[in-house]
Amino acid sequence: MAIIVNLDVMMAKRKISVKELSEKVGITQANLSILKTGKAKAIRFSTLEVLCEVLDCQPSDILEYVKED
Amino acid sequence: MKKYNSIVVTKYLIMLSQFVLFLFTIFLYPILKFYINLRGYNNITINLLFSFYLCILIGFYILIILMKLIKNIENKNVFTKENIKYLRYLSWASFIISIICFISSFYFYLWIFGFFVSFFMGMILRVIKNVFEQAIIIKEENDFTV
Repeated sequence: MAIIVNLDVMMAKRKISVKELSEKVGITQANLSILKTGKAKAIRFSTLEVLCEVLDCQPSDILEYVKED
Repeated sequence: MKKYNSIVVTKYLIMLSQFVLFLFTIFLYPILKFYINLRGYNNITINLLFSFYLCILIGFYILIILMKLIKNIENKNVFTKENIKYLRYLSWASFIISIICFISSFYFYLWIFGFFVSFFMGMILRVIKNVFEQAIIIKEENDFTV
């Protein structure tokens, strides 16, 4: 997929675990794992908003576009 | 509760159809003989038996697949690749019956009605299969939306 999710990078920078992040964001660990591993097909703005709030970052810190050949 | 009862009714209908089809298999020859004597179509008994028994065989297959399909739906496995496979098999079975009916219509014209009914049934099942395929795509999109 052309959109890369750099959630694990931000999680490492903020030193936050999957369990803690999922609790603060209000999504299940399974869904967070889906997002982390790049299996997600879509993300809600509401989820992205809470992620940015908890991780104190911008959407571009979490989502990256890579042009596919 | 209403949805649950509906599935139970469907299951019983399928089982009843299997029983009726089984009885029809046993009593087909005397029924045909009676009808043929009544109408005077004495030279087509073997042909009729052959066509009917072929359709009955496929009919049993259709009922088995329908039972598998309804059991999956009962277990809340609705939009799955397995159910798409079953719907595909059901549509093929209908088309095969339509071919049997079409060929049979050459010796007995009334089979042509069976051809139209089974052909359209096959078409409807194909469209339902396509609907299920799209439903799976939408479901997966939904399941992987965070």
